[in-house]
Amino acid sequence: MSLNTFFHEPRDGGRTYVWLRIAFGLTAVLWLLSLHPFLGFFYGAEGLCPPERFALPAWAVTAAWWGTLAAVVFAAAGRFYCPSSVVQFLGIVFFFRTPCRPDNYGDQIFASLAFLMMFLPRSPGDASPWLHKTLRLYAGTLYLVPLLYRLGGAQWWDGTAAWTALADPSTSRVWLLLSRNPWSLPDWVYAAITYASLAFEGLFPFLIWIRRLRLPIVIAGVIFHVAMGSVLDLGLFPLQMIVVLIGCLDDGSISRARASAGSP
Amino acid sequence: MSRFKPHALTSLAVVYLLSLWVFQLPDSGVERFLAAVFRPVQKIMHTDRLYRMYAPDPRAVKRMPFLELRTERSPVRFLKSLPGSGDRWGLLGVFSKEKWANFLDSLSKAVRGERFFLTQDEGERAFRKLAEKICRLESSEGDAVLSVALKSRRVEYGEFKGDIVWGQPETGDSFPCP
Repeated sequence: MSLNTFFHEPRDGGRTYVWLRIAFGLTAVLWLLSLHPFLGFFYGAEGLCPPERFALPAWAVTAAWWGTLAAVVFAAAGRFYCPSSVVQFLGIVFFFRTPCRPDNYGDQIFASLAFLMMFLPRSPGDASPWLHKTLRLYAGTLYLVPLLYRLGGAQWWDGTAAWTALADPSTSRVWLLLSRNPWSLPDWVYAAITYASLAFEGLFPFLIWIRRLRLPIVIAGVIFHVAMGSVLDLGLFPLQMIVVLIGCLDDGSISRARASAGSP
Repeated sequence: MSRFKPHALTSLAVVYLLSLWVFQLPDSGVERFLAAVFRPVQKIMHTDRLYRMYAPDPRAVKRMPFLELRTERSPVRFLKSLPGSGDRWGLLGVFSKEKWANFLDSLSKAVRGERFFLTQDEGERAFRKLAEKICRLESSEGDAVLSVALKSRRVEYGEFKGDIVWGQPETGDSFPCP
């Protein structure tokens, strides 16, 4: 099978690309709103860490923020998609790349996804699955690389990694609860969370390629990230990962799941 | 779709994924050679970050940075939000707070000389600007801010089901208001 066949066959109706476009747009709006309090602090010539070669005046920073917001809304609605997705990418990169670096992994993943979104297939009824397949390989890398490093970590083998993450006062929402009563949950709960996380991250890169299992593994991923976002303060990282997961779904995996659910 | 477009998109996908995978390679001669080739592409496509979250283990020791103010009326006051905001974060405070915490972490590491996003010089310049803003925006009639300190506390919490141990605050940098 040639690379072209792998990336561009089988073609479908492109309905899930519409979902991806809207999910990306909604998350981008939330991301921009979360940056709004910092426009005067992080960006431009008067900011705390002005970029060396690209320091805009304060009014230009505000204009860039509004311009990006407008582009995100237009792109999500599918209006003037080509120019608005380019402005969306440039705006997201500008606000991501401040030397103050208030970002997390999710923001970097989001900026990278904004690059790919400029090439989103938009031919209704005859869409190439190349972006779904690229995102499956991308998401697989995001899960598999940390897992390979974790093989060398003692806490992942003895099942205590979840405890350490949940007891971290810098990100955990429940550390105070745990520090008051570390025995509020039995040991096996932490071990179960640790091993379930490893199992999901290890299986996702492979199961996402099995059409019948694609929707269930994406649903498992959504639950995984919602649960993670509920107990750890990771900003928009869980939502940004959910957008990547939505991008892994093609029309075929949805219709197949529907057919299975409807069949006796 | 034109005949050229699928080839272009396939090339884009391959370059995108290769640039991502090259960045994840362990340090070696091959990695250094490929990194030099892919660096410009990684910058454009934003595939230039290592995805080693919590690897090999979640960290059991951290430093929690915070801003401590001395004012005319209070010897110690903590600034929990943006200067001049009166503890209001706007519509999406829950997400904005995380960004502010990440920034303070970057700043605190830079000021302590730890290698992170900001160099020590950039960190010290950013802290001075931040302190100047705090001196101006947090001062009120009869309660002027006298000094701003960026401190951090060492926290140990890794021992399974053990106590969380907080160290004494250490001063990273201090700025007297003019």
